[in-house]
Amino acid sequence: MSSRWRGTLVYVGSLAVIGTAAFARYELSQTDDDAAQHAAGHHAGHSMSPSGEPSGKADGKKAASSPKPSSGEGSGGGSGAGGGSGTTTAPDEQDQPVPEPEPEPEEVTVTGAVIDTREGHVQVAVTFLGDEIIDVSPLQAGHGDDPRSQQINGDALPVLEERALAAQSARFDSVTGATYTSEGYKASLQSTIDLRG
Amino acid sequence: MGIPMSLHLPEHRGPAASDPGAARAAADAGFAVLRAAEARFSRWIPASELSRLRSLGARTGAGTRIEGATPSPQMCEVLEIGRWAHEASGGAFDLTGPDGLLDTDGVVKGWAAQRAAEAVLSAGVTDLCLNAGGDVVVHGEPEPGRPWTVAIRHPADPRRVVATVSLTDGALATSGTGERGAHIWDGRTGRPAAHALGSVTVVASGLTTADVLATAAFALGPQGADWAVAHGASWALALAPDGSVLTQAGAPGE
Repeated sequence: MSSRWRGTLVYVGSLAVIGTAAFARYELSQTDDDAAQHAAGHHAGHSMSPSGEPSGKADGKKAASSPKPSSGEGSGGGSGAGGGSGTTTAPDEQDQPVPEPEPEPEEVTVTGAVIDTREGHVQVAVTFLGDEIIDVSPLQAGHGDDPRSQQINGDALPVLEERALAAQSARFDSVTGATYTSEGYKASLQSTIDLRG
Repeated sequence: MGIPMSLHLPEHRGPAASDPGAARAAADAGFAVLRAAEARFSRWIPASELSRLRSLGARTGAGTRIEGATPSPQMCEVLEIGRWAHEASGGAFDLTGPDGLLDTDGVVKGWAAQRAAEAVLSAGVTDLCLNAGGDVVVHGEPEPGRPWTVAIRHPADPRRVVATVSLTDGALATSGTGERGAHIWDGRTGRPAAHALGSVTVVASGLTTADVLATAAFALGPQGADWAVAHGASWALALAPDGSVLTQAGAPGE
């Protein structure tokens, strides 16, 4: 294992995306006082379940409870990357190499669809290493103008949440009461998985 | 279920401090419990036990009868919890979905997350915070000498926090219309619960109880906080849609 463990272990997953959800690890040592800032944590990707039929399940779920499963890109306004569905970019410079000394599969970042939620637009970029998700970065979350609102809103995003927690641990560790944003998050995340193929 | 889950294992002691591999194995055990629960209780997996029972026309309510099927022990446990909550709430809590068929979601989310947390603890982990779509189980401490602090979200504005609760061992669950649309049904009317109530947060010793009590308390309305404390919650908070406190009952401590 990595010898750089410090601070806290956080595992993030979603039952809606079983088979593709990521485990992510973060180091408190890189605690940023602005959670809206991209916190460059170290992530060790790990697929929760290689079997199963993730997209089928997620589709079923979306059909039932998410009004717009994949039509999000049309609604993308917001900042910069709006409508960036399908964009494939080079790996983010800020991302540190994954600490697994295995033969390296290709690392690819896929930008998901912009999903419109009651809290604003939600869009994520997912970095895959082979078939594993090694990073999920929110590109848009809620009302982007106010950095503080973005920070708090981040609690709604399963991955961003933990970054916010690392930064705000003096204030609270977790939040009760789920949100609409998580639906948008899932829809955008799922779109990256669909695009990745 | 379709809800984000996160598991936080602080590293100040126990396997998370000394053996990251063991901590990861413990987390895997917890997520395995959740996956197994989804495989059994998902309406969206045709081969799930719930789907099978529904295809047999399984309904629930005051008495569950499922002709032609022998429910698994896990299914029976979930149905029993649902039956208890149904009776205790005068019918406000019910495991009947909008289509009139059995829908176990009202129990399974909290029940499965509690079992997952127990699986992680039984693998030797001493401190954890498991958040299952806004319902939270905590154990131990995030760092030496400090209890877990869980914020209660504003019912109408997810960017705001109304209150925080500190505890070392226990669970919090919140029900409200803001979460995923009008998903709380009042079993007495067969309609979405509709009243001047934004959310109800319940603290209990375990998440199975907290989740069921929060759901039923929300369906019951503003008096639901007192009802929850009378039925096993240690604390309950009913918030108006604007985030103001309607009622509060019990004490958040152990």
